[in-house]
Formats: sequence, structure tokens, C-alpha cells
Amino acid sequence: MRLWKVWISGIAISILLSGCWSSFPIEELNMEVGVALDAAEETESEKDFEEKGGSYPKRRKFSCTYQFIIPQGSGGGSQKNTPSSKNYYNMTETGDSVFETVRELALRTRRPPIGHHLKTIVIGEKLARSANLSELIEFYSRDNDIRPSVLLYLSKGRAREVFENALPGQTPAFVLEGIFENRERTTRIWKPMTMAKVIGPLHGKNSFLLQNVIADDKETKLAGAGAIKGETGKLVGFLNEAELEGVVWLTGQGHGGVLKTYDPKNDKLITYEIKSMKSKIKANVKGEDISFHVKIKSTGRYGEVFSEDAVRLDEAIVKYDEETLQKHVINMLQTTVKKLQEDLHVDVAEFGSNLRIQHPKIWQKMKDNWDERFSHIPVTYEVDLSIEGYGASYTTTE
Amino acid sequence: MSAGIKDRLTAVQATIILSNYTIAAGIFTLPRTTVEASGTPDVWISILLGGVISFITGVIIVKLSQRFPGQSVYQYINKIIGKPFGKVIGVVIAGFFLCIAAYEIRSVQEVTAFFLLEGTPTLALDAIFLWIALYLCRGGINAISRMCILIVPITWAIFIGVCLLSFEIFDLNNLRPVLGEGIVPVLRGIKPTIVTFTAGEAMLFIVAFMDKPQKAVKVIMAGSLISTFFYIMAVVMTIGAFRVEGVVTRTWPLLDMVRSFEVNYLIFERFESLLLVIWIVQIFCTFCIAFYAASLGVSQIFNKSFSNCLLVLLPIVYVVSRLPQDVNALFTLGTDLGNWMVILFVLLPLPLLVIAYLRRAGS
Repeated sequence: MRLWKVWISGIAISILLSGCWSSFPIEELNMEVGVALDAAEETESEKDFEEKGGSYPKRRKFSCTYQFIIPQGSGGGSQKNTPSSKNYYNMTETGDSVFETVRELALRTRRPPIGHHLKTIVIGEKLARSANLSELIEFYSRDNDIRPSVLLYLSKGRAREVFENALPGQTPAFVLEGIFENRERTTRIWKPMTMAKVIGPLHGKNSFLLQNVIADDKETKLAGAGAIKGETGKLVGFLNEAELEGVVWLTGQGHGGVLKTYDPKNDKLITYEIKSMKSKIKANVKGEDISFHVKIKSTGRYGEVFSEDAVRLDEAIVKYDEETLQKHVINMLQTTVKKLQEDLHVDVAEFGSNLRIQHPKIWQKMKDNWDERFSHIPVTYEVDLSIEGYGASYTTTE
Repeated sequence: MSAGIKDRLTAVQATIILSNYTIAAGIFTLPRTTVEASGTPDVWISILLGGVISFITGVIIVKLSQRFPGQSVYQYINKIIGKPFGKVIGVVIAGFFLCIAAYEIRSVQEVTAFFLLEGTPTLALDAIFLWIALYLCRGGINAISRMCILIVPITWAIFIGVCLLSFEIFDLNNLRPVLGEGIVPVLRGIKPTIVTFTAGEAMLFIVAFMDKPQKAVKVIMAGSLISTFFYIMAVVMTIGAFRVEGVVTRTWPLLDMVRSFEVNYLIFERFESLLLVIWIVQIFCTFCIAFYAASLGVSQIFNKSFSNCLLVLLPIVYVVSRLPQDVNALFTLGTDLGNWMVILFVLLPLPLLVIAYLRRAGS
């Protein structure tokens, strides 16, 4: 009887504790951390492969570039990491199905790519203008490993170039993930648009902005944003840094940053450090006429001021500076909205969403073709800036 | 009396069982099913109304059960409408609980195999689940209640914690305007709500085990409040993250909501695995309660030993759980079960109560 029990528990233990069905050593995996999608354009090695017969029936639709990180060996501190050594590498596959291109990589590397740690997807301008975004990200939103928290970027130029260079010791895909922390330092950065935040607008046919990132030979830089038109899901154009700043002010999304202008009287610099920013877009409906009134409130302090008459503790001077800055903001807003309405014909600054919330019945009638209707709606502005601090010095001398 | 009717439950134990029974696999899909039906972000009102309806039907069932102290529905239904009809309805109710159990285990298996344990054979997931459930149910309703009380602090804390963390991606504008499209769409959203979490049917047998059956109305009230709270929280946070248009595109919206953020100031960065693991335990409770109810029914209707009934029903549950061919069929089964639930536990109890009153059956 006792022996019988030993046998049973022995079998149970060897079945239940012998391991995990799905286990795979982590250092044997290729972790995708970034994906760049471009209009089809084979790399040298792909062309080479193709000449030697390494191809399959496909339409040339896009090129997917996968960024993998090279796992650090188990050596720990004794790693010989020269500053120029990269801890990532990229592989490009051209094809017509994103899924197939990933699996095609399995013919080129033994270590299977996994998407658990995918952080960023960058889409090149050419592809974004011609293909529907929801089709491009369909695979990533369906897969079970890839999370909806993946960040989306556009790139004016080739997306894969963004993944080629980063400052020493850094991985481009991770840089792009972390850079949104800097929203506290500048207003020329859009809010992080993850896949989760993009699926809704794409399905609801609302336009939205995606951060634009550009690359040169050595570095990358965030440069404005691209507008995706809801109806087509395609890129219609870019906002430059200043125009993006305008949208950030319009929507009150900024977490901090700089506002710079010149005193019209003596052409001296005034910069203002933004501490807080709030915006309210009020939709006024009178019969068939709709108009928007944007009301922005901000507090902050002097950041850098050149002046001859020194003292800035005087209430009148502060008031004057505030008005100068307010005029500058209104100017910026007008330029931005003009670009949105006359040039791009997209509402990416939440005007529609405010109309929907404030006048749901009117919105029901207006929501079809909203981007076009929005382009003809007058917008008025009211900006209320208050300078609440001076920094450590209250005077500047010549 | 074969089933351990000596088991007694306090009001708190009964409440915990009730809320554990109602909060189950439906929470993963409810945001989608309600939004699909109503098309507005106001579905939280639908759920609130659904909770009220669930409470009212629960009270009717409680009143019915209170007329027959110490007896479960399978026993007292004979006294209301006579033995032949009573047996048929009893079998249907037991069959319903069996299907609920099968539905829960299949849901947990589908979600786990997709998100958590890709590649693990389904039998390995199901078998362990079933065997432990069998072991627990043999211990009787009291053992189940202790199990529920054990896991409640963990599951509730993790669920609420995860919901609070998801404020990072929450946007209140996604839920506004309230009642922008009027009340009609809200009413359309009530049906999937009832289908997901009507609590009353558990009271058909729980009241029989309560040491103070007069407290049963309080139990159903507390149980409805708790489950309504959980479901509203799930729906509000999911819509807040995805917008109405996004929610309808997600198969398991709640899980995707949890997958949509990463937290870099805590020990864990991702919470979907944690939530899923904990939710398996939560569904395990629901499974055990439904499985227990089905076996109790069979044993009382046919006067067979309770533990034998458990053994006989176990493979049947497994077979039923494998019947749906794919996820679509599983969701259809869920909807069908919901329709049966409406017939059996929303529409039927009131006539039964009236008949019992007229025939002066029970006390």
C-alpha cells in the first residue's frame, strides 16, 4: 500500500513538475523592439537573395524593417562595450503581408522573433500617404504577443533610417519610446499615440495626429506631426514644429515648455516658461451656424528676458509682457488653424470632439464629412497668460 | 438527503458566494457586447439598470425560496407545480448550471491559451481545473464558500488596483456626453448586461443553506451591488481607454485595456498576466459554484448520492465545454445561455411565486 502511494506521487511529480510546455530560453529569442514600415524598396542583401532565388510570390507593397536587440551576455559588468558598438541590429523584408514578412525572417535567422517587447512602429511618409493606416497596423493589433501599448510614429523620409542611428549606447526604438517624458520640457511634442489610442479614431473615421520623427546620418529628431485623415486612414500632410506647438496650445495638452517672443517696442527677447496650460473649446451653435471659441489659460514664469529698463517687479511691466505673449500665442493659434482648415482640411485639434460633447444632436447631423465642414467654421481665441514668477534674478543689466 | 444539507452559511458567506458567482468570464467581453448593442458610451447606465433588474428578480427568487426553508429549488418546485413538471424544470435548471460551468471553463481556456500559455495543450489546462473543482465540491458548499472568501481579497485588490493604474490611459471625453443620444440606446444595452450577470439563480439553492434565511434579501442586495460595481468599473475604464469605436474592435476589451499601458514606477511593468492568473481563480470559483449547483440538482431530483453525481457530471461538463467549434460558437453559447437565463430566472419565478401563493404551498 505504501509503495503504491510512492509510485503514484512519483508519477504525479514527474508529470507536473517536469517543466513548462511553452518554455524557451530567453537568450535564444530575437526580441523585436521596433518596426519601420516603408514603401517597398529592397535592401542590398534582399536584392542579392532574390537574384539567387531567395524569393516567393508576392506583391511589392512595403518593406518592414525589424529592429532586434542583441542580448547582453551573462558576463554582467565585464562587458567590453566600446562606445561605438551597437546593441541592436536591423533586418528588412519586403512583401505584402506584415505577418508573412516576420515569418520570412525565420529563414534568415535561427532565433525566432518575438513581439512581447515591441515598443515603437515608425511609418514612412511615402507608405503612409498611399496605404490605409488601419491595414498597416492590423497585424500588430491582432497579435497576442504584441501589446496595444506600442507607440506609433510617422517619418518624413524613410522610416528605416530612423532606426539606423542613435547616440552611442542607445537603441533607437527605446529612445523613441522614452522621449515622451520630455513633454515637460517642450511643447513641440505631441501626446504619445499608442495603438490603443489610434484604433478608436481609425474605426470612428476621425482625423488625428501622429508624432513625426526625422533622421540624418547620425541622429534622429522629433519634428512636428503628421495628420492622418480619418475617412481614408491616410497621411495628408505634416505640421512643422511651430504648428504642432499651436495644436498643443489649442488642446491644452502641454505639460511645460517655452514660449518665446520679441517685445515689439524695442525688439528685445521675452521667454516664458510654461508651468501649466489649460484650454477650453466652446462650440457656439446658432441655428445652422457653428463657431468655436477657444479659451486658453496658462501660468508660468520668466525664463529669459533681455531688457534695458531692468526692473520686472513692476506690475505694469508684467502686464505688458503678458499681453505681448498673449498676442504671440493668438498669432500662433491662427496660423495653425489656418493650416488645418485651408491646407490640410483636417480637424486634429479636438474641435469635433467638443462639438460632440456639447451639442450631441448637432454632431449627429455634422459628423459625416466633418473634416470638410470644419474647414469653414470660424474660430475665435482668448488667451489668458499670467506670469507668476521671476526666477532667481529680477533684473537684467546690459 | 444526500447532499450535505448540514452545511450552513452565514449571510456574509452567502454574499461572497453570490458575488463570486456573478463576477466571472463575462467581464472580459461585457464592454464589447454592451457597446455593440447600444452604440453609446452610456452603457454604464445600462449596467446600473441591469443591476437593478437583477436585484428585483433576485428578490422574487428569494421570496420564493423563503417559503420553503431548508429546501433548494429542485425540491420545492415539485410542491408548486407538481412532480412531473417540477422534475422537467428541475432538470432544465440543473442543465443550465452545467452549461454555465462548461461555458466558464471554455472561456478561461480560450483566453489562457491565447494570452498566457500559448502552446500548452488544452487538456492540461482543463484537467487540473476540473480535478481540483471536483475535490473542492466534494467538500460541500461550506468548503466552496471558504475558498471564495480566501480569494476575494486578492482578486478584488488586484482588479481594483489594475483599474486604478489604467487611469494613465483614461480619457473622460470618451465617456461624454452623458445621454447624448437619449435613453433608447441605453435600454438596448440592458439585455447583454442581464445575460452576463443576473445573480438571482444562485439564490435558488443558496437560501436553503443559510442559517438565517430571513437575511437573504440583504444578501442579494449586497451581491448585486458588488457585481454591478465591478462590471461598471470594467466598462468605464475600457471605454475611457479605447473610445466606443475602439471597444467594438477588440475581442477581449478588458484584457486589451490592461495590455495598453506599461507602468515604469512599480515592480511590475505589465499587469495582464497578473490579472489573468487571478481571474482564472475567480472563474474557478464560478465554475465550482455552478458545477455544485448542477450536481446538487441531479442528486436531489433523482435521489442519488451527491459525490457520485459529481463524478458523473465531471466528464459531461468537459464534453459540453469542448462542443463549441471556435470562439464565435463560444460567444453564441454565451448569448444562448443568457436567453435561457432570462426565461428561467427573470420570467419564470414570478408566476411560480404567484402559484405557490395561490396553492398555499410552503409557509
